[in-house]
Amino acid sequence: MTAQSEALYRLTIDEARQLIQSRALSPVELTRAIIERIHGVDGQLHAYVNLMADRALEQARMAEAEILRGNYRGPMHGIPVAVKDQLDLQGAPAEIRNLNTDAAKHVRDATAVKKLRDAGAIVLGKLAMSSMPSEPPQPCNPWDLKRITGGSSTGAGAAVAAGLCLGALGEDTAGSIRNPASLCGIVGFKATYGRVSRFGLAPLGWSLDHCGPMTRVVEDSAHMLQAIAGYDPQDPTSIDVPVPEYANALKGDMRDRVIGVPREFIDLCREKTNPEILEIVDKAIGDFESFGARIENISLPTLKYATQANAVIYYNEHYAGRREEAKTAIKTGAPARRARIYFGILTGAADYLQAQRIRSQLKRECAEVFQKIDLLALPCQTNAAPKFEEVDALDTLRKHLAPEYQAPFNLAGLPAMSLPCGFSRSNLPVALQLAGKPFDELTVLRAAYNYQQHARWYERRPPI
Amino acid sequence: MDRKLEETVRALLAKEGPETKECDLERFGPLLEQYVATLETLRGVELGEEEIAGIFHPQGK
Repeated sequence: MTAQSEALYRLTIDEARQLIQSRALSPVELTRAIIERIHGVDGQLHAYVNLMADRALEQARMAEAEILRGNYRGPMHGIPVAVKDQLDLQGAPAEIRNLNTDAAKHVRDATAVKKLRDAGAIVLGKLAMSSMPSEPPQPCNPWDLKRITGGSSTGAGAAVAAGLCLGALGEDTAGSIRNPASLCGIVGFKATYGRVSRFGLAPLGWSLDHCGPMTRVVEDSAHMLQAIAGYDPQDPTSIDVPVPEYANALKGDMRDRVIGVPREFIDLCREKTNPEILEIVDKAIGDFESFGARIENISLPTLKYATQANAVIYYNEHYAGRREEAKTAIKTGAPARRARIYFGILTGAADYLQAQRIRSQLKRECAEVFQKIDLLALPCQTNAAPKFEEVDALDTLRKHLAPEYQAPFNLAGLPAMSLPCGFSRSNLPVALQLAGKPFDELTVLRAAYNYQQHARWYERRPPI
Repeated sequence: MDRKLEETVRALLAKEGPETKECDLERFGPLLEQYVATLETLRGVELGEEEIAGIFHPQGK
């Protein structure tokens, strides 16, 4: 493929980096094409809350000059990306932190953003998220504009799926990367807790928040994770462990790998899961056998309490961190924001600690199971993207109060990915979820890449 | 909303300080009941000698 034969906004990071490295594509040309795409369709999608086009073009010109001088930094050099509003961006207002334009002059880049810039990425601007105080228009799903993207990284889901950036940084406290990724047909990956710095990320729940990449394909996820992973002394929960080479190791095979399926837990969620989703995910899990993996049912009894324990920790940490702000937000905030405050107020210290004890038990069970398996595979969603009129503002909170597929991996802190694995009869994306051992992101990425290359769902594009 | 729960929420709000919208307790009633039921479910989980997840390190960070 050449840059001329394919619309530039359709390039993956991996395709663009090859063209940029060989000087067949200019970062300026690419950035301009993405900005044109944003101007063309974001009026319908509402993914961006702050497009910084001039600044992005300036960065692109600098990247181009540097590459022409022979200083190619690596796969993210010259690649246009965007970030969820929750991440600090130098000089940009942060609505979720109540930082207006004046206050924004003092804002520094979040570590993950800084690392992307150091790797040469072009930052286009900030993307919408759920529960923003100003309640901007909700982003629409590029597969069907009448449907939601899923949250809370709502804008990132829409922007990546529709080519309004080549990759985005999202944040996940109870599924907020994987949920929009699954509903928008893209790859969403939260690495192990402590792998990616949380510095500069407006906290929702300190011990559950994960920053991670949202991309069209698995190799792009590897490129972005490579750039943002690593120890950061500014984040007290950052963990100093070596970061392996991700992208170069994707092609390893799956022979003799064991994939565990938490069947009892899936059965527990069966009643609220659309049978079509289970059918598609079961088929995808079965496909792993065709490239040499072995599938085994496993038991993790504490999973049945994990979503609720995650919610109790989330809402209590959230309230503890925003107690002063809560006094006004409880009157003026959006309904979901107000409800979170009530939850925090209702949670006693003993309830919080009980949830933390459940977390310990889950962690221990996971460690035992992962002595026998390499990966967990399970659904990532209960349904394909619903229509706007089928959901209300409090549905996400209700979802957190009963067993579901995503939050348990925030509680356990394990690497977990939403990987496209098919389409519903209404032509809406469906995803498989893969979770790995602590700090073994590589096995998750490799398994996902094997499946992606076999199934090739990324070849389907949203109609917009 | 259950009257006892409403009294609890009002008492906690008075202790914590935020003044709420009058209609909120009615609006969020079923959701708050669901949350309290969640807390009760978790309280009932038998955890034996399990301690809390480790978050405190006496050295370094």
